[in-house]
Amino acid sequence: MAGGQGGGAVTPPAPGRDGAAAVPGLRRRSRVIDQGARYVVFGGAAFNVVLVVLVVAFLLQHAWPTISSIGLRNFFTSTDWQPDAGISFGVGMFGALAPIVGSFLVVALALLIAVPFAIAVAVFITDTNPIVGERFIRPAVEVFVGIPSVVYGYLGFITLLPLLRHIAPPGRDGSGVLAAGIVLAVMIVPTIATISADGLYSVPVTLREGSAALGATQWQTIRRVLLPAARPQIISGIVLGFARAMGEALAVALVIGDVNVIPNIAKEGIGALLQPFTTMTVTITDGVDKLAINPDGTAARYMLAVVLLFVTFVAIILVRLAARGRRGSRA
Amino acid sequence: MQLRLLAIPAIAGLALVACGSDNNTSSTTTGNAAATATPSPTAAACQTGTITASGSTALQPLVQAAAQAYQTKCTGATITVSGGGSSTGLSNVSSGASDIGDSDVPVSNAKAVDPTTVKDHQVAIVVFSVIVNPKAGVTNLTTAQVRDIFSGKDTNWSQVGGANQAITLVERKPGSGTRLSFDKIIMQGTNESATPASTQDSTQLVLSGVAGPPGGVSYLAASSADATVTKVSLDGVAPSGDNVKAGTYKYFSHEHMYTKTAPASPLVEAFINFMVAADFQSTTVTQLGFLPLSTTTEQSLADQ
Repeated sequence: MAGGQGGGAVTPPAPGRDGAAAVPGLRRRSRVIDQGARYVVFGGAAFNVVLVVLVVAFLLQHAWPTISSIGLRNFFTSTDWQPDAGISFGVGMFGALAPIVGSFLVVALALLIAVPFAIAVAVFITDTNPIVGERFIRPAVEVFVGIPSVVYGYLGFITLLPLLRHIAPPGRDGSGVLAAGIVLAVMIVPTIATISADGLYSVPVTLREGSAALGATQWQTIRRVLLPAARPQIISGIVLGFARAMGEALAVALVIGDVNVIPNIAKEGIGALLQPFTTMTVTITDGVDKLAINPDGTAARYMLAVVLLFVTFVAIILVRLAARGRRGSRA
Repeated sequence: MQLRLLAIPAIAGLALVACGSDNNTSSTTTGNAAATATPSPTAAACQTGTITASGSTALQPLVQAAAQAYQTKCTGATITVSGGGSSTGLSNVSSGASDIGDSDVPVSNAKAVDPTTVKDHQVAIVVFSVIVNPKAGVTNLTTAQVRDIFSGKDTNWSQVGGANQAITLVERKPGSGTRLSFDKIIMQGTNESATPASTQDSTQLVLSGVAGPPGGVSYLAASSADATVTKVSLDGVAPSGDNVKAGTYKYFSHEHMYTKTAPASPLVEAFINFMVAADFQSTTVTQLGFLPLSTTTEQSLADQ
């Protein structure tokens, strides 16, 4: 023990104790700070959870009249949506089938267009040409992630609709499911691409080398080794793109026409894509200025918000399951 | 190496700024002209206090111009003007959240508001017009023809004497005050088509929706129509203030400002009196695209 010297002598810490063992008060203080930091961090996390719970409770509370007086069956199966008819004429109609179908249709189309593109971009960035990919393509794609969605919508309105008018049936102005699907696809390609690229990066180099050693071409490696290995990340990228597309209101509102009638696919075939339609998000934003004056219509819109929230929750749960799949099966 | 990439958007941004800099001067000069020409209240009519007005976005520019002029002359008055839509305005004045509720439609359209608790003040007249794309080849339609077009019965402009062009119907969103006025005055019980080409509410988008497709048709306030669309005469009568005065053009309505039957602040009455005074009516009201109350005492179907 060299501590007998006093002054600036510092005894080395005894094994098993923290580094402030030399000065007793310091150890107590640093332990208090440590505990305090733990509580603060826990508080931040807990606050987030509480916030989510409060939001869900708020939405459910305001949507409750839909369940009690409008009826869930009418809400989910009827296409007669006139929530504000109650203002002037007596009884509003609250059939939300059209917006719900519209949301899923538009997002499905967007994913159909976006996923192949996004995976192609990701593969290019990581494997086909990493030099050009990392230096030019990836920064460009990441810039696109930051562009506000209203810009996409407005560009779609100005440039895409006139183009679609050429192939639209007479009397239609080009707005509809196809226009909304294209705009959303352009919006979510960067999201899916960047996450998939990260997934492809994280595949161990040994897998690539092993595949090359076995004599595989680059495409064979990509298709049979890398993409399956990165599948959990790619799936989570797709699901996040899905959530973003599902929640998009303004970009879609500008190009979808906002007509509450389900296009007759039997009659029009593929032309149904060029009929105007609506989505849950567009229907909710439509009624924002009537909130004060129409309690039943407002409750129906809150119910649409609950449905949206529920769909997004399911998507996030799928992401968690996909991520766990990676850790589980790659033991 | 990443910094080099920043040069590309930076140069592009500079180029855009340099190219597109001349468009803002015209709107600011007209704004200034309106402000300098707005009359001021006489000193005797000045009241003090703080009031709020909210509601119709169509009426909002007029109320804002009046508030600005009033506050400049009467320093003890504070008037805050906001939008939110006619329904919001009606609900606000009923609940007391606003002193004045601006509305394009009469309070009878708001089931949640008790009409006996509010008082109506009409402050201006709006002339509406059916607008069509010039390529449709029509300048005049009968009211019956307009009904057929908007109910979806007619699908080609040749059926009403125009070019051989499919009709592209742009409607307003259900619940819109403009749609309500159109339905009451023109449609009169016939429903608008459930499957238009699209529904819009912002004036700009309605104009783009009509000017874009060759067969576009819709309706809006006549003063908002620009050179890209044609204003249609109804039954041979053009949408103008003179024709409203003569009683031959029926597609118009009054703008309302609702207050509580006994407003809390004397500033409310003073402000509204300022807006309906002949001075204000003959200058600012016409400058902002409305018609003065003196044009006609007739109440349109939308206000009955």
